[in-house]
Amino acid sequence: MEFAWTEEEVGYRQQVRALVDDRYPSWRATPVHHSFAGDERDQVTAFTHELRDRKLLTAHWPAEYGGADQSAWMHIILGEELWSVGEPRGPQYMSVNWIGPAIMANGTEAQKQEHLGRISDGEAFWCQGFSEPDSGSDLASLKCRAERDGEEYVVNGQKIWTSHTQLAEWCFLLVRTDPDAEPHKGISVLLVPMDTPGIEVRSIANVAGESSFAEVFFTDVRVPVANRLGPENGGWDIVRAALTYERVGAPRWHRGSVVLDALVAWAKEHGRFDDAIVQCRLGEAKAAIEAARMLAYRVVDERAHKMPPGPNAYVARVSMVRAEKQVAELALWLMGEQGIDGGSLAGHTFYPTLTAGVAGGTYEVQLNLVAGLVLQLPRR
Amino acid sequence: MDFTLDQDQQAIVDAVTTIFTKQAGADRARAVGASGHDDALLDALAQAGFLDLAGDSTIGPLGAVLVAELASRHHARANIAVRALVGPTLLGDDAPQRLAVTDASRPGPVRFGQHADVVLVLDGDEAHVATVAKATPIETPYGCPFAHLDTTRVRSLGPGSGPELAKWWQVALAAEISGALDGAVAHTVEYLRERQQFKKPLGSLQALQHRLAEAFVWAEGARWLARRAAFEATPQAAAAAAAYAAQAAQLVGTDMHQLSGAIGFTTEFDLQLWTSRLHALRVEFGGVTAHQLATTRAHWG
Repeated sequence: MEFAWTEEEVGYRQQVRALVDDRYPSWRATPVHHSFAGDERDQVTAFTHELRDRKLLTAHWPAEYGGADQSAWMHIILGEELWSVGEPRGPQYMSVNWIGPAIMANGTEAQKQEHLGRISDGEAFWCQGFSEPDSGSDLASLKCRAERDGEEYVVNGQKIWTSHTQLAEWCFLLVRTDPDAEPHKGISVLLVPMDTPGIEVRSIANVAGESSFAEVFFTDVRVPVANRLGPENGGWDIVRAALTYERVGAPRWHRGSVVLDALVAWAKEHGRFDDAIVQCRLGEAKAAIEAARMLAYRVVDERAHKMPPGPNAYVARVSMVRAEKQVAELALWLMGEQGIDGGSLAGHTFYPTLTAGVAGGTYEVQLNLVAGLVLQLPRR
Repeated sequence: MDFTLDQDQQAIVDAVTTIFTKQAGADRARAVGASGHDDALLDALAQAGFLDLAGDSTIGPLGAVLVAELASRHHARANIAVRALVGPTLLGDDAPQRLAVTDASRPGPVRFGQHADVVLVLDGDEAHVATVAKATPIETPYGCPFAHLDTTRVRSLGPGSGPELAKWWQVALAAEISGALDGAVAHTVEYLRERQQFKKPLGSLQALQHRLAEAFVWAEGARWLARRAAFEATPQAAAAAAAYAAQAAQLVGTDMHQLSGAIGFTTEFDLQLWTSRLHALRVEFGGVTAHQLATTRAHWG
């Protein structure tokens, strides 16, 4: 047990940070969420290509899939440095975080050939088709049907709360392939091109700063059986493993830390830093952020040791959500009326953080998982 | 970065667990009494070298933090966290076996003050070595011996030793709190798994499961922050660990009683052995407010 970064890791972090500060010099001082809702494809790929050219984009992937065989720590360092200042990779963070690893673990050779190279080239744009109007926290109850017709599936149904649809070229889609089986035993994963006839996207207005939120409708959408990831009706295990990665995929603790630095700068500039109550609340939030960081790092460490995804990810997620909300609340409390301005630091922090305890599985679902899987409490 | 115990660290955990299993625990704690002091236990740890790990260049404070956590988990009735973390780092080989710490600016009673051979006094930028001229023990339900002290200062440890003492005192508090959090949460989880009401285990009720899960996350965060603070040995990490631990102690120290119901208040139920100390530890050093202020000042000046 030790908590030092290696020289290699420090160097990698410096390279990523230098690139961000060079290309987006103002982003660190005002760390906003850039949602990349529509026409920023060129802006995103310009950046991901620079990461790729410096061998920074998928350094932790195996060399055969376009990586550099480095440790899982590189992945989280990359995420910390980019997510915290506004995520210049746009939706591509997701491809690197869990879509690529899911294809690596479960894909056919043809699927790996088709997708992994594009992801490590900084070219791939994905969205995830998970939630449905009647299947939110109870994801395994999803109803979007895929019926076999020869060498194709015919997909009918609806997904909702889907981010990044405007840029997405592919959808990582969960479908029901056996309506008679137990809910989690009848689900498959399909990799679906978003330009397939029968797919309709309608964006949803929302207050959380996620301007790419959408509903996606599937009407007689024909998907080759060759696009199924993993076995038929074996999708649930794939998605559970993928979601375990995703719980700590967005380094919310590090963004919280950068926001706190910016809040301190604001407090000093506005004569508020000497207030003991302000200092107490900053200290409380900082401690929460650092606790979340350690619990998330423990999950990364398990991955670095090649251990299978385990329930510590849920513990980390609870801590992350708590810490991020604390920072957001502090931002609005400290800035007061000045934080009402949507362009202010609080404006960029408070509303986007409302999604933290909902997206990727609610806070309460994480608590259920901690209670059941970690504390081994009796089933309800 | 590596969260798994190395061979030395695992050996420390195994060996001190063996000692605590034989020479600590709830029954022993009751026998020694809340105002008593377990000299035999402290002797056993000292003879095996477990009080001086922080000064050992191959083991360091990270090894000492493991001893401090486990001592607290096993209800050890001695000032082990302070001795293991503050003793070697401030006094080196001169650290006495029975050590207490206090802050000259805070007039309250001193934990283990009546059982200390030496007291380290935090006085601004300097730490002073002092002996006890007079100790006046107090009656308290807070799970540890406390006494008001008249001290005689022997020597100063020099400029800059004050912040050094504050830092290791905070790491010791964080580690001791983390061990007690671990014990209190695990005990409550176990009880709620078994306790039947409404024809089912209380632990099957979601309202209670969520509170246990949240308490567990607090305890886990406190543990890893204390360990990192011991490793990094910076005022930033120490203050953040203590701030988080003190807040966790308040929440867990009260909520586990709420979840355990009336049995939780009885002296025969082990829960109070951890929680009474949690409440004492969380107000030491000026409590959560002092730790939060220290966190902010250490990080942002």
